[in-house]
Amino acid sequence: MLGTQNSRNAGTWLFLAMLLTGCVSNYTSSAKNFQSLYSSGDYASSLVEVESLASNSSSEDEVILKLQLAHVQREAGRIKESVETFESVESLFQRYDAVPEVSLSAEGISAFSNPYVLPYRGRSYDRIMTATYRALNYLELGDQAKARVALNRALFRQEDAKRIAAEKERVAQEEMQSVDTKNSRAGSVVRSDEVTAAMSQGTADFVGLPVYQDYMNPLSVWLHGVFFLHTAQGIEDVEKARKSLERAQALAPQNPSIKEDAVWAATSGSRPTVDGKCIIYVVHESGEAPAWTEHKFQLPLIIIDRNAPIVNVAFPKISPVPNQDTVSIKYKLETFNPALLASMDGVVAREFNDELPVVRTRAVASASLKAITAYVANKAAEENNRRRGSQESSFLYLATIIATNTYTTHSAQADLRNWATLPKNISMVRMVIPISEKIYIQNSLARPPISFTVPNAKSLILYCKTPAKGGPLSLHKIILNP
Amino acid sequence: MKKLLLSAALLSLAGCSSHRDAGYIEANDGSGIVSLDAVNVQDFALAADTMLKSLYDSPAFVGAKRPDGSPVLMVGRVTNDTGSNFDTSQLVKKLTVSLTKSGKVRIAKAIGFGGPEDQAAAEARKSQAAATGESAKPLLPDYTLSGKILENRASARGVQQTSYIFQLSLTEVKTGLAVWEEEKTITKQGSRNSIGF
Repeated sequence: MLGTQNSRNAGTWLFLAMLLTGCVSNYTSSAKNFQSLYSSGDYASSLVEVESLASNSSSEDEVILKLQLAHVQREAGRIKESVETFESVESLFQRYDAVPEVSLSAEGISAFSNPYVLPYRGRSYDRIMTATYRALNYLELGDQAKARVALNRALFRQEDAKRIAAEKERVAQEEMQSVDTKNSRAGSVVRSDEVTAAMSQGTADFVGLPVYQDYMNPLSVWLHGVFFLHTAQGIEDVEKARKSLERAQALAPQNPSIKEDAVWAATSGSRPTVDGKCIIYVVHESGEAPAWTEHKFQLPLIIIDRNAPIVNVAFPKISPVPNQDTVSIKYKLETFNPALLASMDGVVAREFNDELPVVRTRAVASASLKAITAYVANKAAEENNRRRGSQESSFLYLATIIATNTYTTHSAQADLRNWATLPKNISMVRMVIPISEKIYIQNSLARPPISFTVPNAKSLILYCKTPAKGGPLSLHKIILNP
Repeated sequence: MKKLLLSAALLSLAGCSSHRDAGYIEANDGSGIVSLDAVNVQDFALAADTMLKSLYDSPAFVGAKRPDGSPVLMVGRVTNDTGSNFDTSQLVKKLTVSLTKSGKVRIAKAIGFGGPEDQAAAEARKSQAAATGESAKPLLPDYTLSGKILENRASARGVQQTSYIFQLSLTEVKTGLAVWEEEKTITKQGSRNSIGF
């Protein structure tokens, strides 16, 4: 029989749990506006929205909002501001890196009734892409020394990614053991068919995604290679370039443009040059990174009793956004079509799958605890009604059941924070065009193509972006070797 | 239940951190903050000390003289090839300060790799020459100093290791040959995790 103390405890916990759920971040709804403006190519309006959000963000959402702010600033042509914002994100990453992450105890996991109470520390791909965009920004500003540092950082971040993936696996195992020890019923629910089926929904919409070896990002690896090749200060730099270009070739075998540079780096000890001509790399970012949604489902009953509440659990789910565009480049009678260099869908999906075991354990353990406390509250209300037998106590019992079921059904939330302004695909083509000649770049829109006059430089990158099919084409000019 | 309430209380306190009063420390007495992800001020101090000791012990400047005094050194490119942004003058300045004080060399300020370090001196030199109706005599160095700072990382069993490798070379301009070279590696270890959830 439940005593007064127990019912008071249950009530206290329920109140506390509801309070924690009340601290829910409204990140997803508030970010929708700037993200849709960004997708339509209206970078100026998107910037206004995201600036306002980032300036009022909670510390939990600071990293994720600043990442996107820096990205929108970059596309809105505010490169210097973008540099500053990316630098402040990099500082936040370093601050988080200095604090060790430990696996949570069963109580700790359950206490996190909502994942938004945890700060977004940045995923590995966020960190790699931050370093890569920092390098692109510095290159656009002509600061090759800082671009070199950022590209080195991108390389280190990729090495970190492999280690972090192993850490995630360890944390998942430790937390599962902790749940098993403290609550074997919750442990068996984590392994139930319903939960396993829900987990398999996570990336079910993707087919044939590339899995990049050792968590490498082909864009970052390739950029590292071409940068060190075209700005080589000595044979050591050419050797670095060779290694990165050969890696990039293995990561993106469908892109024939990487091969020429890889061969040059392997056979020559100097920067590649072609008399009277400029080596041009057209890089095209297109489409949107996977869409994050919530997959809610009902947990199997943890307690078989009429007072047991219905408990929902929410897992994140990612789906492809099929709106990428293509570009073609025309020079006289020749047409160049960039080939796939990196699939961000592949990069995101892999890390998403790595995180899922921890997400699962935390969500189910938290839901189990909610179920138990709600059950205790229901049982106490039933006991109270049985003893008093009044209309009031009957109403209180009914109200408690409704309240606990509402709470356990609606409090489940998946963490959907992600860098949504990242592209879906990145493609690239290499061309050698005479200086002062014009090339024409066009996406699928029937607008006049963008014309570009080849400057007197030995090599450059034209970094283009189409946010979504039918969207505008923007262009960043980056001189590698003047 | 108590444990749960304690967890919640800990959660609410998670943002707090311990307070420590600000105070002065010596840059190279081992009490500074050590970062795995960055070159700290004590790393520069240690690298510079090693470099200077090696340079003073070498015969690099023995017998080198100019009619008007000690030989001239121009600071060349010192490449930051690490993953952290910092100003390489934090290393180079320590060397040039000591070398100038020792009187072994004079540092060229009105010329330099990528432009003069002291723009005002370069301009004043030009103006002075123009005032006397002559063109400024080229300031040719006897030696150039160049180098690189590299980073190497490794991890095993939850321990991260970062090494910063400081490499410097002194080249005699007349012959184009290196007369002194030194390398100093500073290695730091620590546990560092950065799981993004």
